[in-house]
Amino acid sequence: MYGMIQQAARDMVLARYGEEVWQAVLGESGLTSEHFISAQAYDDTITFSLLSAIGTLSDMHQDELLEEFGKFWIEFAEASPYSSVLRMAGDDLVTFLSNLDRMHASIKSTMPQTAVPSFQLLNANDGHIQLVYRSERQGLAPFVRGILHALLKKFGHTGDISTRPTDGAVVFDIVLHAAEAA
Amino acid sequence: MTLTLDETELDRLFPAYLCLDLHGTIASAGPSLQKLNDGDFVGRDFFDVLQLERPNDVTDIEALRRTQAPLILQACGNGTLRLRGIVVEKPDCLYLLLGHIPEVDPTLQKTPLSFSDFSPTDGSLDILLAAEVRKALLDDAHALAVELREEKRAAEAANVAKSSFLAAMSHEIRTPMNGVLGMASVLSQTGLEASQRDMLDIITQSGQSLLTILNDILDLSKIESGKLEIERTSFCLDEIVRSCEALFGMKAEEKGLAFDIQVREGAHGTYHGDPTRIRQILNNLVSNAIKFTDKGGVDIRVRRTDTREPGVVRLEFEVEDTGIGMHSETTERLFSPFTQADSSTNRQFGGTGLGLAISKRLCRLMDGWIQATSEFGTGSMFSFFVQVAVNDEASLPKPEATPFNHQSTEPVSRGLRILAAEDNKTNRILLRAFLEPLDADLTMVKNGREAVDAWRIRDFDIALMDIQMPVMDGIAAVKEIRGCESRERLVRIPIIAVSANAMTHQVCEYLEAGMDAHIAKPIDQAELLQLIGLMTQSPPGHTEAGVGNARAW
Repeated sequence: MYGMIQQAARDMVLARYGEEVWQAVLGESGLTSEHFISAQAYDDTITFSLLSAIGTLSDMHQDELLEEFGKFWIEFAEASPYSSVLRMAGDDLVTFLSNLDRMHASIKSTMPQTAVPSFQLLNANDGHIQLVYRSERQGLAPFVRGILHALLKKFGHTGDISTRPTDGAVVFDIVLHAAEAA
Repeated sequence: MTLTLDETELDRLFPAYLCLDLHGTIASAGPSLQKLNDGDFVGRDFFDVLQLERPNDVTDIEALRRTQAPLILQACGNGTLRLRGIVVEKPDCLYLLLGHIPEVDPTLQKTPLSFSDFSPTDGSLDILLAAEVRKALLDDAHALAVELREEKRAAEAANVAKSSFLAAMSHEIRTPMNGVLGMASVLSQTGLEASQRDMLDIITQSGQSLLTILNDILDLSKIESGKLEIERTSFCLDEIVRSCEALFGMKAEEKGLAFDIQVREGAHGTYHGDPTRIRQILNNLVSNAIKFTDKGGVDIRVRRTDTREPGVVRLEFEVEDTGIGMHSETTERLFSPFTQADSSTNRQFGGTGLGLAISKRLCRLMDGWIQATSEFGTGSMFSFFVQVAVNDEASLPKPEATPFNHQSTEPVSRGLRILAAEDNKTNRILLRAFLEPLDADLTMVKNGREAVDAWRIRDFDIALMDIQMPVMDGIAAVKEIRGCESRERLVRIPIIAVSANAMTHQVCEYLEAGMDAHIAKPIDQAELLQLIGLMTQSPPGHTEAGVGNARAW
């Protein structure tokens, strides 16, 4: 994964638990450097060992941690140099979700070494949104769930998100609360 | 084969297309342009609202219809909206199939465009993203540089703190060690049995070894904290060489080693530089050479070469031995602090591993360099050079002018009235013992305040003043005494500063405060007695002579 993930993980730990815990995370994960370049590809094992160490030290289950990380991710990206990319993806939830795949296609085009997930917007009617998520990496659906929660909040919605696996993918069902259906 | 696109497909493929009628009026526009300009394009003349950058010879609709060249155009009055594409001619209209040109300058990334404004068939959106990546890389690099700079600063601060701590600890250890060595010195002057004298010699040698280590640590600490000052004084190169020979010739002989020093023609003479530090480097190398050589010998060669700077020359020293030698990887880390050839070297030969690190830093401080070449099992050659100024003989100090025998501890003056201010009990006992041969009338006080008070009620021939004391330090006491002497036209008392803090700027501070001379701790008894003799026989302010570590003005 690209260093932006590691940067976000570091910022999340620093923001929520402080420098001491971050140093402990570095020690636990075995990382020798805490400097990450956002556009540099790092081996996935580095990312997962980092997340595993954070989970251990924050006493959070890995899925719970990934969802929290997903929520933090949007906050992080909006404050990062890539904020304009997020802005260009859309001014409303449905537009944004419909552009997610295109955003990742462009990331793939720009950074060909990376493996990026794909997103397919199946349905967006009457406050019900269905998004299909596919990734070569296993176990990151909770991260996407956290991102979707953060996007609901970003665009002023509340809603419920459920997931179900289907044919090598995960379908996210988002039901917006009635008063604010998209 | 004919490809026909409906309006939806056209919108999707070319979100920024324009359709002109045959008169040049914009008949329709793609969703991107309609959104960005609120549909303002439609119904207006193409050349009124859009400006062609290329081709630049197209000024009317006919020329536009005929052109086969790629178009680059921008919305008039809106420099941020630029488009490129081609003209496709139809029987009743012209289609300008256009795409947005992404702005790749990160500072201008305020584009109102969104993903849907870009055609999925070209790489324009990717270019925009690549620009963002580039911008992020620059930001990362900048942030990284800031972080690394801060870490470097913190590391340097920690290093300075470490050096200060080491210096403080070394100083603290030196004070009692002075007591041990001083008392051993005094004890050696009493009647001892042979076995007792042997034991005393071991105490003295062990103490001297410990002092050497402490001095090494102090030196390195001073260098690393930038506090070591290189002196600029006249010196004779031959004296350095002679002292080296005197110091190590016997040791080499004891080990059965040949020992030869050659000073090349033209190198003899006097220079302006720091003889103490040059001697320190040379002695360190020669000491190592003898230590690590069991057969054969040690050759020392000295020569002088010119530099481009007039009046400045390089003194080059080579110390070659036929000792145990080193592997090349060992040679590379020789000059790092706390590094010896290997851990077994320390066990076998002792030492701190600081000598060469200090030598390297001293060389640098004297605009010089040090290096080593070695072959394992065959021997080593260390060479260094320092830059010094050439000197004329007239400006040399003349040690022989001093009326004292450097080796003699015979008191020059007896029955002197001496005031000594020293807060440390051990040092007071030591001082009293050291002054014993003078048969002096000694008044010992514990701080500067007591010294001033004693001086007011009694006459003294000379005062010895510690610097760091509680209540009132030595500098404040001397200032007060000098002030009174001046106001009340009293006879000026010679005052010798006694301090372990003997860096050039510190000694200058003592002298500026009104001291007449300085003697460094650990005190050498012979030097102390000679200096007292010198100061009590010559009027203060009129003597210029050096006695070992002591300096009198």
